[in-house]
Amino acid sequence: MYDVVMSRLAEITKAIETLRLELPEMGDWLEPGHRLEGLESCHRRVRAWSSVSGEPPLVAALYGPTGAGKSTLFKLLSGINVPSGEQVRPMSRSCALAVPPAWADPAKLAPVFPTAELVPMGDGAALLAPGQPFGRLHAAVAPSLSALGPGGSSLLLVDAPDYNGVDPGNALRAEEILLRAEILVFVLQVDSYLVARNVEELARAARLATRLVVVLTKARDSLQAWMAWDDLCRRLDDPASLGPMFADRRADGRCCAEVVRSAPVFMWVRSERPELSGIMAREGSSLVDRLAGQEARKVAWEGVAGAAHEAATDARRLLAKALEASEAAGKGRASLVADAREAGARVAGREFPFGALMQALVKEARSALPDWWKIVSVPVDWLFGTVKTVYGKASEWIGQVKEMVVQESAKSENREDVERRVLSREADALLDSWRSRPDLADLGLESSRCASAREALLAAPLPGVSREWEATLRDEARRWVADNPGLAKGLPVISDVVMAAGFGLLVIDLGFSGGLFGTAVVVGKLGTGGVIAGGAGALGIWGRFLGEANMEQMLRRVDATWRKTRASDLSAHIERHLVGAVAAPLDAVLGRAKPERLAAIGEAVRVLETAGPGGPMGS
Amino acid sequence: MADASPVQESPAAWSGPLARQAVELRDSLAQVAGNPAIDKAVAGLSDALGALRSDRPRPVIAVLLGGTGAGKSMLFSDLLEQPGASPSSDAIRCHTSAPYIAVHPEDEPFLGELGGWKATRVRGPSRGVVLVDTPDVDGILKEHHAATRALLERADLVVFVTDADRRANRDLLAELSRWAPRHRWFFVLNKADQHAGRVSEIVSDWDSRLREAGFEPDDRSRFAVSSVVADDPGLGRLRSALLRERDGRQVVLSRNCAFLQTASHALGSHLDSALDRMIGDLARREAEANARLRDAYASALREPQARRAFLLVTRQAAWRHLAERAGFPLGWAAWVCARAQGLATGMLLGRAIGSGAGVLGLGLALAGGGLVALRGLLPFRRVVESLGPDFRRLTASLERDIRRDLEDIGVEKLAERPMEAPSSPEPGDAVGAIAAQVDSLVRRFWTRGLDADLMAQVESDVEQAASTVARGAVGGLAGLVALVVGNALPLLLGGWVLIRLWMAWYEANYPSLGFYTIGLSLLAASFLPGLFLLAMLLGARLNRLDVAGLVALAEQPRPTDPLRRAREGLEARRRDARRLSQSAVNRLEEVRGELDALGMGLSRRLMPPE
Repeated sequence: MYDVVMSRLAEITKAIETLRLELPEMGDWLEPGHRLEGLESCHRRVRAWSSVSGEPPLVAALYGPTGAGKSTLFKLLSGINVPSGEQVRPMSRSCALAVPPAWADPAKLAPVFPTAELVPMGDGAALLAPGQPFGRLHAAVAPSLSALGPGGSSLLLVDAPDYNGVDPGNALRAEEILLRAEILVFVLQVDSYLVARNVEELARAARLATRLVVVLTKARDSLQAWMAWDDLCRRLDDPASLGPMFADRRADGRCCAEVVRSAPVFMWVRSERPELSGIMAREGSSLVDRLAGQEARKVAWEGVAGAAHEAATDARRLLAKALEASEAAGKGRASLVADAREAGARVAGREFPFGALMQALVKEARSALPDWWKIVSVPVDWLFGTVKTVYGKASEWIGQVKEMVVQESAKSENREDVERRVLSREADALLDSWRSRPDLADLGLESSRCASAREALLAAPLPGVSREWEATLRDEARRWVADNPGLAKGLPVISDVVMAAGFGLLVIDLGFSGGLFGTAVVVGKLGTGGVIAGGAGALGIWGRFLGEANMEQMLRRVDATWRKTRASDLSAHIERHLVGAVAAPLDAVLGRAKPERLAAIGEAVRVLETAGPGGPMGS
Repeated sequence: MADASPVQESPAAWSGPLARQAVELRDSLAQVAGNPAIDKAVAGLSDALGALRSDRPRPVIAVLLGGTGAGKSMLFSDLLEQPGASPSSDAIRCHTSAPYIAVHPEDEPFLGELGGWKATRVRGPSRGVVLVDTPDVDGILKEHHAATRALLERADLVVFVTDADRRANRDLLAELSRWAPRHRWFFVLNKADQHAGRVSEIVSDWDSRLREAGFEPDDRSRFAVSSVVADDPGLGRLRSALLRERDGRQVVLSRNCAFLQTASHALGSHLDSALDRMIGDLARREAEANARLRDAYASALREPQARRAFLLVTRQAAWRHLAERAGFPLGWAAWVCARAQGLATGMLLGRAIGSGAGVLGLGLALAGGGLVALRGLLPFRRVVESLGPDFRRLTASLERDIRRDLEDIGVEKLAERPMEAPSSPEPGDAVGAIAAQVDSLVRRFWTRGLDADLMAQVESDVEQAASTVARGAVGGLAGLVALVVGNALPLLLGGWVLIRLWMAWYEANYPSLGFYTIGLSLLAASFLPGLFLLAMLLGARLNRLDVAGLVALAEQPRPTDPLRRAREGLEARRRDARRLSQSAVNRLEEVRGELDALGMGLSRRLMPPE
């Protein structure tokens, strides 16, 4: 039987270790102020039991609010003199531990409190020193424990500091003990039984303690004590009162209200010289019997099973939160990618490499020209080029004399510059949109992060023009040249002449600030035609030319292909560089909620849930 | 002897101005969004102002505060010497579920808000003071807490009741700290009989708890009492201290004290630290943005085309500055040179409107006006455009980054540009009105798509450069020569013409029209050498102008003005908060002294932030 117990214990230990490894990764999803109490409690108990051979120890803790009388009771039970007078409160800022002689060896004691720092007690004043580590236990040997009863030789008695005193660290120290104790003695002044904090702690004790005992102290008489207790028990069942707080079920199937109602309750009359004999049971065995008369293995197993159940409950809750968070992160990331796609399509829709199209047409048309035509066109090209150069120089000299520097047009933007400018605007619009969405609040998109993400996007080289589009362009140009031989012949010459003339007109126009062609450029930019590329004013003329040269259908097809391919490339570019930069928190969530991790947790939970309190020790 | 009714004394002369300052400061701090320390200060100032709300005359309200089982109800009954006045039970807890109010019959008509409370009334022993027994603040019934806190909002005096076992209870001491800044206090350690022989040590330990909470307890404010001991001296002292007859002046003083204490607490160093942090953050971001913009601007201006555009516009502006420096009459000629076009436009417009010169005249005037407008704006637009697409993208990005910075810190409202009163021409100035309208329309059209702050920055830099160049052109030996020659020639020629004219008129030998024509022509021509020299000097200065260096001289690039406005807004609020806090602290000592002398319990000293 004992081998079966140890085998189950080993399984539980393994499951707990898995949870201790995996659950901290998901700590962000715990409610604020909440701890994985069941997990920690189970870990301590299995460690304690696994480390000993033979009879496991029973840890009995005195737990309660300030001024309840815990230290007085500890002194009487253990015979160890700890500060318990009334002069100074709080009376202790650390835990006192009384051990029977059989447990005096620190090496034997250490595994019983795996998270504690054990120090010899010395004089009681050490308990009053402020700022002590939360896990420190001041231990002293108490031979009188062995004399309390048959179980006294494995009874380890702990005096926990108050959980509601002015030293906030005391609450944490007390909690450390709550998570370890098998027998919890809840010590409470009788007139504080309905203080909200005390009721909350009683509910917690009922949920976590293997065995619960209640001592009502500083009573006027037993009538007062039992009236108060009956009032409390009545409220436990009242859904409008304390019912909801005590509704949780434990591993043994009992709800916390039942645990409290059935707990052995004692009362202790206020006295100048308190004695153990003054502690009266309402019914049943004495307090000493409740502490030192237990079967250690049975109680220890109940403790392990109960804590395992709590640990499984904690893990299930966290697992559900992880799945929820993972789903939300997945949705969030998908929406970022969808936004990136739309942005890519918008950027692609704002540009059209008209210059590239015309170049392709001219190139194809030129290649289709008969050789004799070139003999004519080359000198014409040369002539107009020379006129352009001479006129430009003359204008510059005239302008300097007239104190008018040649008004060069602003550095014109090529397609990449325009694309980068539009990308910058789109990136900012996306970032502002994401900042304002409550479902993306976890991205933490503060200003500096937004700026970095945008610059990362702009610094990355733009995707090149796709081959699919270039091939489409070539094919369309060839088709147009084949379908319009007459226009195709004149196209190269017309383009040279008009470009030269357009530039010449610009030079002439310089005397008028802006002038007709400048106005055309401005109107073109303000309009929604989206016609861009280098060479400003001549494009207005080209616009009219296109409509009359049977190019409309070709333009539509080329435009459609451009939009499709460019949109896809730009979407991928934005997704890689912008979304990749901002989505790190979402990716972290998805990393933490990996399917393998969730599966391991699920398996560990299954093992813990099968560790019923009956178990191998049930009979 | 107290008056028959608790007469309301008029508020102190200082309280009105301080209250107004508090209201203004609260409203201005409320414009900062989402900062916990500032939100706390705003709430604190609201609480402080609430303390000053005027009631009809009423008695002093003293409220018992304590945990369940502390013995408040028993104490209430004992103080009134009326057993069972507020029934209690030592077995069943959370017994008091509604307040009990002890009020003297003569004070009944003056209970004010308290009169409307659902409470049990018992007879109070003294005029001018009402004693209230409250439900507990730490039991399981939340409605008890709410009822007690609502009563505490209206209290002048609070009697904190505890016992030896609970004196180190953190939750009860936290409740004390919560209300401490706003009230005057008495402290009662109840059930002292349970620790006979150790009371003085227990009281001494308790005093240390009270000192941690910010009080300096003494025998006039802290009492150890026992209900079960007959003629308990502590209870007698407490009764005398608490239930003495009081007048309305104490109510006013108490309210003023609550206002000053709460305001001081609200404006404590936590607010100062928060504002310091925000101001530091804004200053850092402002410096970064300025540096980023200046570097990019200087770099863009180093490009040849940007530099050329900048110099072109600077040359035009420099002629205006030369007009102020060139002396007389050369300055007059420079002025004409700079404004000839504008004068022509004005003349044409005036003719068109005044004498109805017809469509042609109006057309000429409009064309000329359009050119003036374009010359004024388009050059700046060209400079901005010549800075290049990268620079324009950077300024657009910077504007967005600045807006986000302001949103993150919560100071968008402080960064808004102040409304400027539209400048309007003088009545009757029809030409000015039309010119202003034309200018406004053209300006709006030609500045579309460009950042207004950037245009303003460029304009400012051009003016600065023009001033520098103009100053340099006429400074030095060469400038002096140009000025001397430029002014002397017209003066000499003009003087000779005037002398000849005068002599002719004197001799009645009136010159012919040709004399005048030639004279005016020669006079006009005499300006040319001076103008030519100025043009050459101007050109030389322009060629040497360190454009990028000018950028570094600019105090604050305009595009980063929102950060500056936000920072200055916070600095103003910090100044106001410090001023109000100091005034409150100064007044507080005075008011506390008065209340101490009147036996109105104890105030908490000003505490460092939690």
